[in-house]
Amino acid sequence: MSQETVTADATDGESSTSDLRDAIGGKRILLYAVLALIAVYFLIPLEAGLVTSFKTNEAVINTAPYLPPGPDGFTLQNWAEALDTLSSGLVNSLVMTIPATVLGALFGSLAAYGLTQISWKGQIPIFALFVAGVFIPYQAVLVPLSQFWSMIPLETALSPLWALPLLEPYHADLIELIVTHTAYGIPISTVLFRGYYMGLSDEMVEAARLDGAGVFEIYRRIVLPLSGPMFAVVLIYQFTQIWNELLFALILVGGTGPSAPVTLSLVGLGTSLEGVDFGLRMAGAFLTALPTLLVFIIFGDQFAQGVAGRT
Amino acid sequence: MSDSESNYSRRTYLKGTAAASAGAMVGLAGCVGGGGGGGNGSGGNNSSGGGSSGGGGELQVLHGWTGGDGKKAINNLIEKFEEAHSDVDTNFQAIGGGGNTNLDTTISNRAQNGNLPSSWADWPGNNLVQFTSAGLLGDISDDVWTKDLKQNYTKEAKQYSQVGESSKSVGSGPYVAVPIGSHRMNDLFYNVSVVEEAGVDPTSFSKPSDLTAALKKVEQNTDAVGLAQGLEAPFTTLQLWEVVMQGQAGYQAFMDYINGEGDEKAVRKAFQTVQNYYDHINDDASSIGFTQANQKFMSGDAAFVHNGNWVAGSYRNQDDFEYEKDWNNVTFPGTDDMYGMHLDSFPFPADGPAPEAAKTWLSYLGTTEAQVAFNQYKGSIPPRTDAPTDKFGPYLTKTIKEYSEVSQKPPTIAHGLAVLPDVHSDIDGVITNEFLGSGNLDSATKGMLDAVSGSN
Amino acid sequence: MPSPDRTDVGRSIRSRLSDLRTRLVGDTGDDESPVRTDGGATVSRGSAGTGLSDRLRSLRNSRFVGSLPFWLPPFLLMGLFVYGAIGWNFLISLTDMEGFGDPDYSALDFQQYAELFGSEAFINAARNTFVLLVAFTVLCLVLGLVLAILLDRTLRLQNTFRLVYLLPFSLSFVVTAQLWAWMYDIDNGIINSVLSLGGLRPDWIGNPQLVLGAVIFALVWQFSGYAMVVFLAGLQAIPDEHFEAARIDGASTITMYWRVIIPQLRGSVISALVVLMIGALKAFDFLYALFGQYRPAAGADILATLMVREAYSNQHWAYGSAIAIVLYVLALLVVIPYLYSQYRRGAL
Repeated sequence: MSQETVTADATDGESSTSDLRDAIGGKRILLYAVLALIAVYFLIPLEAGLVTSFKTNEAVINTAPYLPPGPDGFTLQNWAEALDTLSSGLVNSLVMTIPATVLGALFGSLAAYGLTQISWKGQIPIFALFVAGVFIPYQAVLVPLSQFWSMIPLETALSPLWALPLLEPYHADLIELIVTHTAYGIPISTVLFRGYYMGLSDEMVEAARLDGAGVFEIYRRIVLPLSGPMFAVVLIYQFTQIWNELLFALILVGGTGPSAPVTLSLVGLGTSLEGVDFGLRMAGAFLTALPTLLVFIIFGDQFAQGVAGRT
Repeated sequence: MSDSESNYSRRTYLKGTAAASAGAMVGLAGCVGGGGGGGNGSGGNNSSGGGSSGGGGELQVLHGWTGGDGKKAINNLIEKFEEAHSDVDTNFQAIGGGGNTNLDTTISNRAQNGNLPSSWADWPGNNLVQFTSAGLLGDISDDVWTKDLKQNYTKEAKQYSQVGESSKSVGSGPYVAVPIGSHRMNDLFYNVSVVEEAGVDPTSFSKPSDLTAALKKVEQNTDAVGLAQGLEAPFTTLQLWEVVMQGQAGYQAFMDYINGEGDEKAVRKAFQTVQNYYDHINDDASSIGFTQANQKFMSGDAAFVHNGNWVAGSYRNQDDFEYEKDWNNVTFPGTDDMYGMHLDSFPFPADGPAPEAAKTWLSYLGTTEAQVAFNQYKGSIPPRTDAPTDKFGPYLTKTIKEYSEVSQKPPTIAHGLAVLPDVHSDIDGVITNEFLGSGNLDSATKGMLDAVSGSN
Repeated sequence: MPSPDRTDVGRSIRSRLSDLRTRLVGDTGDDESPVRTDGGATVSRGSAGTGLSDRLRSLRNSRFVGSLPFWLPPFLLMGLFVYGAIGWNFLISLTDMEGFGDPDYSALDFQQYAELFGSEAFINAARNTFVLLVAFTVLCLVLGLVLAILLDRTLRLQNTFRLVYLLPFSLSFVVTAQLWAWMYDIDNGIINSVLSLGGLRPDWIGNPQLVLGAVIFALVWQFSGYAMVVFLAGLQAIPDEHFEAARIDGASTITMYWRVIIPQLRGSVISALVVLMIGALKAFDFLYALFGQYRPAAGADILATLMVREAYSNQHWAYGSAIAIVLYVLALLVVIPYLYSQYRRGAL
């Protein structure tokens, strides 16, 4: 049977399936109403937060939490103040998240290739260790991790770097976080990539091998170019995870010093002796969430489709 | 040899595995660490890490005052310091978030890593034993605590700055910190118009239960609740329990409790009174913090509030909320002859970066100029007895005067002076889980007594 | 077979990939499904091997060596940070490391564990952790499944709904905590604004009986959309005939899903559980951000918060490490059956 036929079958199957299920479902209007109602459930905390972020303190107390502020109650002050307080945290988070995401995904892809395309007996126990690493509660490594990083005087060791433009000694904290997040990102990346590579046909790899291509060349020429969809999933997932993480930042950086990622700065925002400023807190929350929200709004479909392709 | 091998228990085996994997990590740390040190040339000194590498002589000071009065106070202090010592290279960092939680985490991490800053804001007294017991604080009995300081600081401020290696040696150890200000813990604040409307006279209270009756009366006669309270963190309840205990059982009974010889009946009765108060607090108390509770007090939704007198600072910042006209205070019923002791201080690490600059900073904190600069905004009083009071306003001036007049100064548990951090943490657990959580006075009382039982 | 020229091969592989996606989705037990056509590789490998076992062995050996540069560096980095750290953590839990300073590894015992199991705070936190893990995963799975079934048909706005339901998944726990602190605000929050119409005013965060439920509800809000995406993919992979057959049998819609469709989603359940578990293990972030301190309100303490509080607030490092080991063992209770099931399915 040729590949093309199979593909066509699969596609047809999907659409006809939907038709069939429609017949079972029926009552479209009711369905849409239910779906919309559920959408409200998912959106209302976001909506309430968003409108609140544009309210003055008086409006926060005097208007319903889900209604937009009136003309007197509208202010951009919260956003300005949140941006002012969180801007360095946002930069730190980007500086930390992007390299850790890319490195983690790359390592995951390499490890998965090494454990899939090249078959040898020992790979199952090795892979099992990767899989078990996915479920590691961060608490279980926290004390050794802080001990470990305290033994490495990274800031001193890298002191020549701080002479370079844009680099400051506090960036040593971010390098710690990058290495840490890369290491803990490897298990899930490997598992995701391996599920994907398991399905790759051996034919091409075999053909290339008979042509005399080495393992590196095969990876670079054949496997890597085919990994696009899975890279999308892993990068989106890891970017979200690392950007959103708090515990490592709290323990390794601690406090709102110059190297604090944005999640750390957000925790204390808007609480002071004068009371809790919900408008400011909401503006800060959205500012923090903006990058990951954007990633999901733009690439959400790819992510959802990619998720479907994993074991 | 083979015999001993067969004797290996499972435990030894487990330990062996653990040690092997741990060894790998430590080994790597060693390699990288060693490499880093080597790359730096001779420097054995580099091991103190972080802060010292920057400019060598940079004074690095951490504090937790990121907003409101505290921020104004520390910024004013820093400005004055930099004017007076323009030659010192400074790096002040405000570590905000979660009250002092983030600052404490940062400090404890850095203490653990042998990488403390030049100085930082912390409570003195028993709270510092965690550092002194590990040899992390340096003796400044001579360098900073000059004759001038020793003569002019209050007795209590000196006592809690002298911390040895154990709880017993608080007050007799070497000087390791310099206090900058003190808040009073036993003030009861009232909203003048609400109590007038309720027909309550706070100056007539003589014992803690008088307040219970007044709270009832407030709720009968007005729309306001009796007491504004925020229970998000345990300290608000703990400090209230402390003043009630002091007011009901007296200074000595409270001190006995701290020393692990508490009277079960007195502890229980204090809880009972607090529970009676809590029948008359705002109904959202359990989900709000003390700042939101304080707002309810200012807006006239509650007649009374108890807290450290830092809340008075927020009244000053409030428009149309004047001392004596809109708010006023009495000492907590039954504690007229007491000043509930609290202190903010800056400790001196044994091995911190820029020790000379740190000493300059600490010596400056010991001057009347520094203490006026800080406390006039912070709403606390100077620990020096000779600081001029003209910038402090009537309320703080009265507090300063009363400090010198009262005879008893019970130290605060909730703010670190009285008990070790371990004990404090256990007490917080009892307050949260037993008293506020299950509301079981028997287990709360037992927990309170158990927590301090190691202290005697 | 297409001619072995590059572009053709590339195309064939790509189409195989899309087959693969259909095949992997939901693991429908599709051994006899028509898409499983590969095996070309097996054949060629087999023919290469016959009678040349020596050469095969050397090829294997060289393949092993050749594979090392790919998986070994990530494996070492991961192994160091995951298993090295856990081993070290276990070692610390056997010491009595406390306060500031280095641990003393010369006297090791299980005293911390003995203390732990005698501590009411620990038992309490362990119970809350268990409740949170179970309630959170079950609710996410149920809600995710219902949503997926509702969305599994031709809908004009299918992608929009899917995106909306998935959106909370992109947020940080810190952000979720801020949003839900505002939802649960006793006076001005949405939930109580609605409930007050019925005269109710529950104290979601402050009441020890309610707070854990409130936390779980917020976490379900964040993660059920992800479960939905996984289930939707699983449902879309189930062949029509299964629906058809059930319908001919005269089964009601509910019976059909319950008897025929849902049992085929085992793979999706496992797949969703992975991410749900990772999420649940990070619940510390949510609680810390919600309460702004290491100590959550009464009724909401879990092992994760207890561990961080004991270690980093009280400097009881050994004790905290022991709690962490218990937490890890709890995670292993999920990991080991998962590994075993993956192994049996041949997915390892």
